[in-house]
Amino acid sequence: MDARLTINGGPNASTAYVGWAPVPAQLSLVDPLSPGPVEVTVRNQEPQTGGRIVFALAGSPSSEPALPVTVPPDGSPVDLLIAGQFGSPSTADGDTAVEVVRQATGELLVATRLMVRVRKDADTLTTAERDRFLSALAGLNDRGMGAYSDYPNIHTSAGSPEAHDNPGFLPWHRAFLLDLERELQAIDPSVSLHYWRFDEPGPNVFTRGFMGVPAANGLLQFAATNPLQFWATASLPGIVRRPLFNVATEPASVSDEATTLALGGSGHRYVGLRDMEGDPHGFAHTSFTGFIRSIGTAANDPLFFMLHANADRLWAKWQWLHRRFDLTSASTFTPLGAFGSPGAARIGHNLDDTMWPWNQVVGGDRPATAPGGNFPPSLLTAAPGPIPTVGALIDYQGVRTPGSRLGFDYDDVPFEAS
Amino acid sequence: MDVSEYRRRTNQQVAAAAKRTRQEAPRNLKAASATLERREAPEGARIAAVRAMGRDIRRRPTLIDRLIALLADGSESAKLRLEALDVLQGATFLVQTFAAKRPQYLEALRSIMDDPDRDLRRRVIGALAREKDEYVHRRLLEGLEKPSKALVPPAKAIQFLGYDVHADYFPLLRRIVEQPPTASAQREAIRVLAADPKSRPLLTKILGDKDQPSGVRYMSALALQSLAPTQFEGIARKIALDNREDHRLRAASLTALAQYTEPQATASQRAFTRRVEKLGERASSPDVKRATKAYMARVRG
Repeated sequence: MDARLTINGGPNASTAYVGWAPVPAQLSLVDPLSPGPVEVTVRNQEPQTGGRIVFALAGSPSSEPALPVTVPPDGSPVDLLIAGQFGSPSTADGDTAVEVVRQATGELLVATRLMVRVRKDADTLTTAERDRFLSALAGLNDRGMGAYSDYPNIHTSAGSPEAHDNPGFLPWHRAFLLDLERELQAIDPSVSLHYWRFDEPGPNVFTRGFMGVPAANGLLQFAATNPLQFWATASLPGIVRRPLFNVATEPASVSDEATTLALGGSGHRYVGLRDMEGDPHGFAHTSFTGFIRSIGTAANDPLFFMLHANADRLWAKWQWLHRRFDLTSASTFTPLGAFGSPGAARIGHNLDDTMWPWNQVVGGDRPATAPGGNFPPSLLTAAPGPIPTVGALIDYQGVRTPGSRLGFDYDDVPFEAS
Repeated sequence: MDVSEYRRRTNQQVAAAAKRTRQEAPRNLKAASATLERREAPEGARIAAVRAMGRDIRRRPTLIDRLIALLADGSESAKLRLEALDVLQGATFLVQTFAAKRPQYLEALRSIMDDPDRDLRRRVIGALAREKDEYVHRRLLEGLEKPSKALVPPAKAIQFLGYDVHADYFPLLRRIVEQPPTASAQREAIRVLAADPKSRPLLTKILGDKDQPSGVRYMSALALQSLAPTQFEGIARKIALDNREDHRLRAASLTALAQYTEPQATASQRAFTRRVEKLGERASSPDVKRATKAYMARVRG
């Protein structure tokens, strides 16, 4: 007797990635010989040295590391939910496995390798995780000739009003990060967009082996095996960046995490959280000299994405802490509705507005060009679609609407059903 | 991890931070403004006041005026003015709030380009250069032609010009490469010439010249890698296998080949890979050893 376990709708390794948010899985018997239902257990395969998984029956509120399941004999599937166990992420592709065993005999019916793939504090990565991340970044940049060039071309002074100083600052940058992460995962699916925790020292981040160390003139120097040494943007090799703080012992000059999570006041309202665009976000940018300090050049430095991943993590953590996923609530996001309705903000910054450049709208109130095309798809989820709205970036874990899950998680932001 | 306990602990930390903010907030901006105006107040307190004002800019854009005035005020300490510059530069990300103040800000930056404080001068010129400011470009070029008029050392001037590359800089940069005022200026000029297809022969010549300093050849390798990747690939193979070559250059060549080529795609690449494998066994430089190991790891997938 065999069983089939499909995860994320796919039968193969390309869809075998989970975060903390549960993803759909289906378990069925193949060529069943049993006259009646078969009792099996779905569980982590031991010994387990990588990430860990939890399981639930679809619709069940609780998940377990081992789940008894009754599988029909006629080959029809049982719907399950599979997720990473919060606090136990993977460090390598396929470093964990799910097995299905028959309870009566202990017979192994199927085993599937998985990765619990989440965005991590860059200071805590293993050497192998760091090197895969750097290699994917360098591959996307391809010495200035790769698809990375779209990102600095989007994050310019001309595109800036689409992204900054308006309510859509956080959703727009969430989309921008996810766009890049999907491109990195097309190169190496085991890579996530890791974050630079700017309110803590980063002794392992600002090294020659990782994000570089400045020479006397601010041009970064890298270890001999670090592919970022070939980084090029705007036709020139190299990255200029000098920290204005001691990276090994001090955080950047920004508010700490708890202070940021307290923005929004006692009502925990989005309108107050928007202050984080100045501190910590803006102050993190100006904790350095060089590319990252100005809008027009900031995205020429790959640290830009790690800085913004942390800003996004803070929003995600605020959302989790205050349960801010309900798209009908102005505490989750405001303004609700679309551009042109009463109380609306600039176009592109209202809940129902589509976002540039992914909507490919140019001219009028939008910039003259829209580099990069539509939003890249994912094998793991249909969201946010090729032309995302602001609202499509909010319930990123599918807490309220499972279909809105975007396919990423942060190591320290759990999933909790509403 | 127990998520309920984690939530409880996080809530506690956030509640404590919220209490702290509530206690400070009502008097924060008023007190900060008053502290800044008291010139006799300790410098550290005035710097903290500037930062506190920076947090309120989105709600009170008029604070930008005060900070611009502080930045331009040569009678204030450089440290305080640098803090004002950092806060204002952060505020430029608030494009809508900042838009009306932008001309005034850029004018203030231009007015202090010659400030006697080295750090302030450099950061101001850097900010203008990233804005592709025509006036600062003119002054930087002038300083490269006539060192007595230089605002910053030549390497820094070239780096700043690199924020807005124009073909008409290239002849000057080629002259600097051939008759460099400093080694770092030579390296920066090579870096910017990566944008100039006509400089390819010059960069190739420098990379091949073992009498050139290691850092200069390394920068030529980076520039060629970006300007002429296919040509660089051939050169990199030779450098990687030449045990009389500079170790850093050999390691960088191997890393580039590992990252950007398919080591097993053709017969000649496979032959090269076999030689790299042997190289790893006898290389004396730790960098070359590490790069060889990484190359072979890539080959083995």
